Parts: sequence; C-alpha cells; structure tokens
Amino acid sequence: MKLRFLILAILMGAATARAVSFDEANRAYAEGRYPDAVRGFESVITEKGYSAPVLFNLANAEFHAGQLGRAILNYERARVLAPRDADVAANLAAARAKAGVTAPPTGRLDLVAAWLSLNAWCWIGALAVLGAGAGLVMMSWRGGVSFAPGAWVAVNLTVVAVAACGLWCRLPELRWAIVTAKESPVFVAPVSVTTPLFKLNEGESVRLRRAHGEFVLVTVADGRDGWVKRNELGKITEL
Amino acid sequence: MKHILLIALAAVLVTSAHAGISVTLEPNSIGPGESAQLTVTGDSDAGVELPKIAGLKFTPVGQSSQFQSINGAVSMSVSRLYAVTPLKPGNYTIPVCNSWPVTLHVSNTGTAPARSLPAPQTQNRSGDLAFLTLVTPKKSFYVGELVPVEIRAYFRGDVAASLNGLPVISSDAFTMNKPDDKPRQSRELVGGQPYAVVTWMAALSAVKAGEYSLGLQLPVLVRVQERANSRRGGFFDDSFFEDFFGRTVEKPVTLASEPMAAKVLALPAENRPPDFKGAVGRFDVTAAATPAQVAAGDPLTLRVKITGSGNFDRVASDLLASSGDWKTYKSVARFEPEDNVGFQGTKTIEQAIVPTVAGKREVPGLKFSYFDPDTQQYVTRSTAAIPVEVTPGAVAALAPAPIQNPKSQIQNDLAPNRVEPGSFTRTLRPLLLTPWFLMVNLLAWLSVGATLLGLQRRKRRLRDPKRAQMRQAAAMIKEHLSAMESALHRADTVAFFDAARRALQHQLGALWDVPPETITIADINARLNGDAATLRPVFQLADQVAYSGERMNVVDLTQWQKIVTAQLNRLEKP
Repeated sequence: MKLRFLILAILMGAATARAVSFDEANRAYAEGRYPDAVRGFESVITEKGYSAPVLFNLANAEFHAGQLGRAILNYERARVLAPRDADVAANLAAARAKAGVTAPPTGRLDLVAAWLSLNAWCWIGALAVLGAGAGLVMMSWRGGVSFAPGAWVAVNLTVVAVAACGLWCRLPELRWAIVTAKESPVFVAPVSVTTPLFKLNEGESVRLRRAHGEFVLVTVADGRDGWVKRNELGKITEL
Repeated sequence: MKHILLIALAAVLVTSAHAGISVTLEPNSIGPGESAQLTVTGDSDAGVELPKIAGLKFTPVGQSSQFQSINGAVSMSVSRLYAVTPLKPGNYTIPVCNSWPVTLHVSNTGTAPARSLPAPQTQNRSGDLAFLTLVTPKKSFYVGELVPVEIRAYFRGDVAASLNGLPVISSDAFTMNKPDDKPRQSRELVGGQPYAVVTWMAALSAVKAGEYSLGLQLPVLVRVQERANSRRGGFFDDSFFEDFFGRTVEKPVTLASEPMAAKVLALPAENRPPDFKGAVGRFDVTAAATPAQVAAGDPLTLRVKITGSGNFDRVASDLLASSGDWKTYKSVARFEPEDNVGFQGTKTIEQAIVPTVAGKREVPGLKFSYFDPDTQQYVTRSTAAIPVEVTPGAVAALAPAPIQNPKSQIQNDLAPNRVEPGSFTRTLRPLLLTPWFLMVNLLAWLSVGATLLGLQRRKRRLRDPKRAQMRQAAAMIKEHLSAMESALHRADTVAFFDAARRALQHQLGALWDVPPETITIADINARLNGDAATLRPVFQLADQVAYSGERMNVVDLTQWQKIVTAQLNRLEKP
C-alpha cells in the first residue's frame, strides 16, 4: 500500500514539475528574461514534445531575444500544427517584417490547402479510403451495385481526391527550411574555400534539394541556388 | 410601320400599389432651422390630409395643376407643396394617404454640405423614353474623399421597364459603394410629361488625382411589342389588332448618364500631421476609459468615438502604446452608420489597456487628424487625459517588467504568449512519412483494389449467359433431386423417376445448350454413343412406370437414386 502511495506521489510530483516548467518559461518571458524563456520552452519540448502553443511561445521569446531566424522557424513549425491560428500567422508576418525577408510565394490552391495541416489531410484521406473500402465491401456483400453504398463510395473517393490535392499542395513545404544563422554564405560547390555566390539573410526561406556532407543544395525563392552549410538552416518538418 | 411598338403600360417601377398619389421630399436630410419641401401629387384636386407628427410642422406653400392628353385620354394631376420644418433633430417617417412613406433626417449639427444635393438637370431630357442622371454636390473632389451622390433613373410613363442590375460607375478613377438594393420610387413631371423615377443614394470616392469624365451606366429591360408577321387584312387590319396579336418581348438596354467633368485633387503635402491616416471629412473625437478605478494588472477599456461625416474606412487613431505604466492590446473598431451610404456615423475604437503600476494614473490624451475638404486644411483633434485610480493588485507582481529599450516596443505588435501548453506530439515528421501510416494506407488501398476486382469479376459472371444458364440448370437439378428424395420417402415410383428424368434432362440441356424438355432417349443415344448405357434406363423406366404403374420398393429406389446422382456428377464434370 505504501509503495502505491509512493508511486502516486512521484507521478504527481513529476506532473507538477512539468507544468511549472512551462509556467516558469512564460514567467521568464513576462519578466523580459527572454534567453531564459527560450531555454525553458526548449526544455518543455525536449521533455514532452512539440505543441503549437509551446512552439509559438518559444518563437515569441526568440523574437525578443533577437533570434529572428529561429523565431521564424518556430512560428512555421507552430503553423504546421495549427495552420489556421491567426496569432501565429500575425506574429510570423511581424517576424518576417522585422527580419526584412518575405514569405515564400504561394498560389491560391496552396492557401486553400493550408487551411488544414498536412497530418489532417493525411487523416482525411486515410479515413476516406477506409470509408470507400467499407462501402465496397457492403456492395460486395449485398451482391451488386446499389445506390446508397455506391453514393457512399463515390463521396469517399471524392474526399480522397480532395485530400490528395491538399497533400499535393502541401508536400513541397516538407522541403522548406529557414536560415537560422545571422548570415549564411551560399557557395557554388559544397566546399567553403571558394568565394560565396551570395549571402542569405537570417529568416529567409529556402527549398532543400539534396545534401552532401555538411552542405545542402538549396534554392532561394527568387530561383537562385547554391550550397549552404547544413547547420545554418533549420528544417520546418522532419524528413 | 415600325416592327417594334412601345406599349403603354403602367410604370412597374413606381408606387403602383399606391396608385393615385405620389410623394417626394427634397431634400431628405436637413439641419435644425432648415425646411424641406414635401410635394404631394395626385390625380384629383381633392384635399390631402397630412399626418400630425410630433416634432414636424407642415406649412402649405402652393399648388399646381397639370393637364395631359395622351392618346386622346385627358388626365389631370395636382401637386401640392408643403414646407416641412423640424422642431427637433431626429429621423421622421412621413406617411401620406396610402403612398410610399418618405423619411426626413434632421441632424443636430447642421446639414452636411454633401447632403444638399442640387436638383437634377432633367429639363433638356424631356421626351426621352428613359434616362439616367447623377447628382453630385460638387465637381471637384479630393483623393479618398467620400461624396454622397444621388442616382436617378427616369422612365417615361408609357414605357414598361424593369431593372436588370444596379448602377455602375464608368470611370476607373472613382469607386462607388454598392447602391441600396431597394431604391426609392416616385413620380415626377419632366417637361409636363410624367416619369417614373427610381432613386438610389450612394457614395463616390476618388482614387487618383487628375481630371476625369464621370458617368454611370444602368442595365434595364425595356418591354416592347413586336408586330406579328402574318398579314391579316380586312377587318383585322387595324392598329388595335396589331397590338393585340403582337408579341411582347424584353430588350436589354443600358442607360448611361451624361458624362460629367470631374476634377480630383491630391491631398496637400504641406502641414500634413504625422498621425494623418487618410481620413477626409469632418469629425469630432471623444475618449473615455472604464472603469475609472481598477486594480493593477486588471484591464480597463479605452473607448474612442469618432463621429461626423466622411470616409470612415480610413478613420483610424493611434491608440495608447505600451509604456512603463500601461500594457496595451490590439484595438477593435466598429462603425455605426447613420445613413444608407456610410457617409455619416460613429466609429468606435476600443482598446484593452492594463495599468501595471498602482497610484493615480492618467490615460494620456489621444490625437486624431483628418483633412477637411471644405476648409482645405488638415485638422487635428485631441482628447483630454483621463484620470484612473489604480489600486495595488495581486497580479501586479506578475505584470511585465517596464520596457527598457525602444526595440522592445515591438512586443505590442506580437500576439501574446499562450498560457496553456496544448496537446503534445513527439515529432513534427508528417504522418505521410511514417512507416505504420504508409503500411495501413497501403493495406487499405490493396483491400479496396481487391474488393473492386472481386466486384468486377462478379459483375462479369452475372452478365455471362452461359453461366446464367448453368446456374438456372443447377437450381432446377437441385429442385428435382429434392423431389426424388421426397418421392423416395413416399415410395412413389412414378414421381421418383419423373424427377430423375427431369434432373438429367436439365443437366444435359445445360451441357448441350438445348431446351431440357426436348431431350429424348434418341438424343441421348445420338449424342452420348456408348456412354448412354447408364442414362438410357432412367429415361426408359420413367416412361415405363408412368404407363404401367409398376412399383419399386424403397431399396431399389435408393439404388436408382445413387445411380442418378452419380450420373449427374459425372455429367457435371467437363
């Protein structure tokens, strides 16, 4: 019995400690101790994983700590989890404005697809496939094509098509990364002994193409490309 | 003779439901001490009783009569004029008999200059079937200035027409807000001719400086009658029958107003206040903060009201910025128009502000700048500082630290931190790239594909006539085997062999693709050659017992049942 109470007490204590960690980071932020807040939110992520509010708060703290590249990166990550959050979008725009960089170009279809997260499109598509499968099984069981299961299958297949379009539009985002270094030179080859072609500003968005050693071949929004050091970039999503 | 004849119909656009009387009020917006003219036009000289409305005084000022002869029919209309004088500000609705009520707006600050619209120039259009006029208070505008205008579409009394859309502006130098969907309808005499008048109130705004031609277009459908092509002659060769047999069609027509030369002036750069954000018009500003006493850390609402007339979409004020004493949030604005075009009204801007330091504090005075097109000068209005009593609060200790450097000012532009951590996920890796999700989806797709394939095969099988025949034969054989079994139990030899023969006939019929009932012993001998030895006795016995009445015991019948079943199985195999 005593052992049970002990385990319960340890679990409750651990839970409280975790909650305090997030609150403490928020308190550090409120008191203007932004580097402490950044460390606090990062420790929450290390301990519990990612969440849109934690990423958002971390980005806010990084914004004030002068780490605009990392702030933009974490706003983008928060947007992956909460694509329709107006605050995230507003703060991301503010961070880009302060960093003097622009968002990667997006089409109208992309804007529609951005209404849901990549995972949401995945779930919708997967559930619709299962729904269509269930409808087909029902049709098979009934021994013919009747209207109700047929309509059900058609609706689900339409949803699958829509979800596929959403995924198709959002898939390129997987290859976007943000420059987190203050200034990132872009080389013509994956070696740093040459003179840089041009330099990327902190917070700029680049599209990853392929990696070679410690370098990554990237394409900038204006179409220029070159090799950048891997550790000067932050990927929005994990590949 | 023309192919198309305009037919005389009652105007569908005007107050046909209130035939006999029409009422107009000019202008419909005045200030205190001013008067508007109410015109009541009827088709008889019988007196009109005006309603008694508190706050309004009606004074008769004259009467005029019009006699008209249209197609030989003489009609008379009498117009009575009244001066309407308000005793106090407000909105008044004046119903006269059964006519459409008119509304008089009496402001408490004097008539807005833009509201004093001049009378439309219609005299030179007398006789036109329909025309469009644009009434503007002036011909010179400032960029961004909102100018109320009146759009009038005139339709001669003998023209039947209907609206096919709303008036649109035909110049890219101006924008016009959407006119009201329900325009005012009235009747007017233009050059002695009655016209149905449809009036919209709208507001124009110039978007770029320069000299432009300003005009409007209105799509309408005019109902005309086409003359019938067949020649009647004789008794029917009369204009009455031409009208009677003609076909009424609607022709789309676009009315265009006479272009008006308009000059758009750029806002002067001289003396432009730094906080000027594009407001053009005449405005007053007041500010209030509630409650007057709060605890440090508790929010209070700063409310700024900007009233007047002008382009309210550009009315904005720099509200309170965060400082050491105040933490501020984003403001919210709402506009309450006092007219249909959004020219007059009140814009209220609210901002949540939080005092961070206890004591007697003051919400600083706020400034709002606009350009007055009448005086052609920029005007800056200021509000007085608002005293607030801030008591020490429990949350004060948690209030944000005073801002140390100007760069931190941008914190106000960021949405605040979240207080709840939300739900966590271990990875940002999309589901699409996780093996288990891919595997589940692959399996789902495979099962969908397999099911589809199965359905297709089943569909093909169902459509195959040979298979259908085989299925039918199998069903019949099953039925006859069952009959054999039943006959066996009853020791009914006749029924047993009859069922056995039929079962074999169905099996052979399916094999040979012939009707089962046509198969005889001769067919079996011919088609099966030596293999008919075991089938032939069944057919022979069936005939024999049917005619001779010979009976067999159950043991024999059971033996025959085995033989028949074996033969059926043998025949079934290809």
